[in-house]
Amino acid sequence: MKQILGIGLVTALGFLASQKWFGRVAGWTRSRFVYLTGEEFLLLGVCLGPLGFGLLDREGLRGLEPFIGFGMAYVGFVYGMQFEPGIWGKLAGREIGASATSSLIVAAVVAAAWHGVSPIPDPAVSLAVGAAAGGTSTAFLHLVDRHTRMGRVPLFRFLRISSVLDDLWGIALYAGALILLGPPGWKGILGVLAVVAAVCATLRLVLPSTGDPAETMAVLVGAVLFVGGTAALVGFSPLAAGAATGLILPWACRDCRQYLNRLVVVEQPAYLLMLVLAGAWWAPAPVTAKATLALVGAYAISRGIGKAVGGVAAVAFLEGRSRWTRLGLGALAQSEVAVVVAVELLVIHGTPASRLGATALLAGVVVNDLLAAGFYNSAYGRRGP
Amino acid sequence: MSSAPTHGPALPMREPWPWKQGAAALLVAAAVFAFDSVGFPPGTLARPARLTLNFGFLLLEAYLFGVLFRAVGLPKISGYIVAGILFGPHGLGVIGEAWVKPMKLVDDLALTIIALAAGAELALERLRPRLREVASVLGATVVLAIPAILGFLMVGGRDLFPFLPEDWGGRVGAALVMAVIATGRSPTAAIALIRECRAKGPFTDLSFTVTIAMDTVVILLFAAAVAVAGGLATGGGVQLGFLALVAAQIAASVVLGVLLGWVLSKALGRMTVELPTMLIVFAFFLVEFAGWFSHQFQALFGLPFHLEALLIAISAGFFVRNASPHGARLHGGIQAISLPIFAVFFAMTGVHLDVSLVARLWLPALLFVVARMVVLGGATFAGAVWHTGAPRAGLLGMTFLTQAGVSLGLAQEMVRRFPGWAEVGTFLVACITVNEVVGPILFKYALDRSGESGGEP
Repeated sequence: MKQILGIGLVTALGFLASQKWFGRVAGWTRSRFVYLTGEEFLLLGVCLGPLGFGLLDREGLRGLEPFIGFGMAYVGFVYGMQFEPGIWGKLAGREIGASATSSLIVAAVVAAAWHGVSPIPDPAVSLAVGAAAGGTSTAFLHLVDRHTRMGRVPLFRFLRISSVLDDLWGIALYAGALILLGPPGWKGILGVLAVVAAVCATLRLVLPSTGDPAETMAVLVGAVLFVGGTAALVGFSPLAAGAATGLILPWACRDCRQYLNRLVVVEQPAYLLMLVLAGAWWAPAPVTAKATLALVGAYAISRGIGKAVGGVAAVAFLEGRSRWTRLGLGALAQSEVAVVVAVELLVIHGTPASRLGATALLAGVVVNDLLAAGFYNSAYGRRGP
Repeated sequence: MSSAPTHGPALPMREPWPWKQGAAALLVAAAVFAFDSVGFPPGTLARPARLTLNFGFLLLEAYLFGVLFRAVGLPKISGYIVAGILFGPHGLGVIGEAWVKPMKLVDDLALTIIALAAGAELALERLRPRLREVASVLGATVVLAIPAILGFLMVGGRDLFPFLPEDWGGRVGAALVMAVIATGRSPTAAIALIRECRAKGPFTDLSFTVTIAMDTVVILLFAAAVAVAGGLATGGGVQLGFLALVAAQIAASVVLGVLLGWVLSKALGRMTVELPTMLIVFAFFLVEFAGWFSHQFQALFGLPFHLEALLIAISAGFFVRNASPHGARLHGGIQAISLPIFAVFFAMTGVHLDVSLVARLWLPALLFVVARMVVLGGATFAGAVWHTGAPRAGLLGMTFLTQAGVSLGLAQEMVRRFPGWAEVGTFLVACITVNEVVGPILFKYALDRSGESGGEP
């Protein structure tokens, strides 16, 4: 009965809560900048899993395992599909360069710091943590835009563009780290690339002739599952494989981007279910609670430093001159992509080093979300929208 | 499924040959073969990763095969099934034997959602005027078809069917159980085909209602046949205990279904949650609860008490459709996710089918399948013309030939209760395999010929 209760609870609560709380937390004025990246569902999973009330265990959730790989690849696929071929022409080269510079600085600072302080140093995990740290939450900046007049400020406009691009550099760096230092090896990567190419070609051939939305969704869901499963099987990243498919597809099939809206509808439940399952699977890293706390602190501080320095570098790239700016601190909120990287470290790689990295990343996302809310609150005081 | 019938056969639309889908099917298959041939060392997520890959591959191939089959005038679900057979453990082996069981939960989820859809299609206002027709066709099946198939098996005897028990009592008992299982049909295939053909009208209504009703009747008849067969095989009396147990299981399933239907209707009225998500959660809970309940009952009372997930879901769908104002919303929600659900479910059905059995037992299987077609067609015709209002009685029997999960489940239950009849069970599985492939083709043909295909989606 415990298991049934757990499964019923985990699914029902997860999805009901997603309707009510996902996104902005409603409440008093100071909470208007608080944005939850969905980690509450991970915590829900942890609470119901062996580390919490013990209502769920890995055995009891075996049938739902495919949803984890699906969730990871799906987030990547939807992210990648945002980049229609024309978008690159619309972006100024300086904006792209500034975003890349800032992200790489953050990644380098965080990766170096992590490698230095982690009791279980692993170059691939350090790079993965750094790569995930570079990202910025687009949804959070959208929230800020809605509640302030920041949209008129040119640097904030850059920040919004940069937030979309930041994750791209992060995913590329993370994939690179796995290719060079991780488990898949060249054979595995070639296998995944072959499947990605086959899936893109298939979608190119098939999608334009799918008549109704249900057919389109069936094909897209099948494609994402296929790519995600392949990547996870060789120890590569379903997120990166999904993102690669999503990036390539609009080039292979110009009309295919019209399906993005349909994909977004399924993204939320897929992402949330993945988080709940990952929470229930969570195996703690073999370090003390104190050490974990210190590592989370080190991650948050190094990311803050990285963002501050990266912001200055980005402005220098944009304006051609160096000056102090708080731009980087305005981009502290972390994106879904960071959460997915953490989940991948937790369930795909599962080594003590990667579990420790995942713990710091996930806790760091919460810390950074709160810091970002605090930053904008301090900037805007109690003023309403 | 109501509205006035359109008479005469629907004109088939001439579509260009979907060579792109054919090329895509080959491409996806080539990719997975190339990937598998390299033989990567599995990562820590090997099991769930392979499951994810399998479902994605199967969904893509099933969809593509469905399109190819439609292009040659065959039902899409036949394409899904063939994709499953082709890539399953008895075909090219992309989905190996070891992966069939771990994929069962998603298979069960799909079955539950399809059953929910089937229940939601049964509108009382359309059923009431047809109750006499339904009773007439059902009665003819029970009174005429079962004795006819029993007689055929007894006349053929061990010469044609050498796996029948040697002793007379056992032979009659086995033949009786086989005859009952032979009258089973597939509600899941029926709902899938009716939706695929967008069939609406009195012929479709009658066919569908009889299929759903027969699903319950055949389970009860099976229990009765097993009770009688047990007595015949052992020389003891009729074992009424099993019959009572099955009747109680059916009653409990219907009651639980109504209860869950009530919960679902309340949820539909109050929640703004994405309906497909809610349906998946509902199906998941139902499947897990049915399994847990059976397990607990067995542990506590030492008796096998199986709640029928199919019946629970049909009852729940029926309740929402007829006792709440949310039938249309439920229908729409299921429609939105029906294609991937049908594709995965029927492809998984194909994965389960062991075509090598058909090759081994082809002659007796062929005879039995043909005899079943003739007998069911004749009995249905007799039952339909008995009630003068029955439309296109000659075609109706063709819609009752598809068999699937329930029939397979009954064959397995027969072997569990009579371990000495394992070969009879294998033979039945071979026949059901043939019916699974041939049935949908004839079903679609009958719907097209009835003139009720091709309505508004």
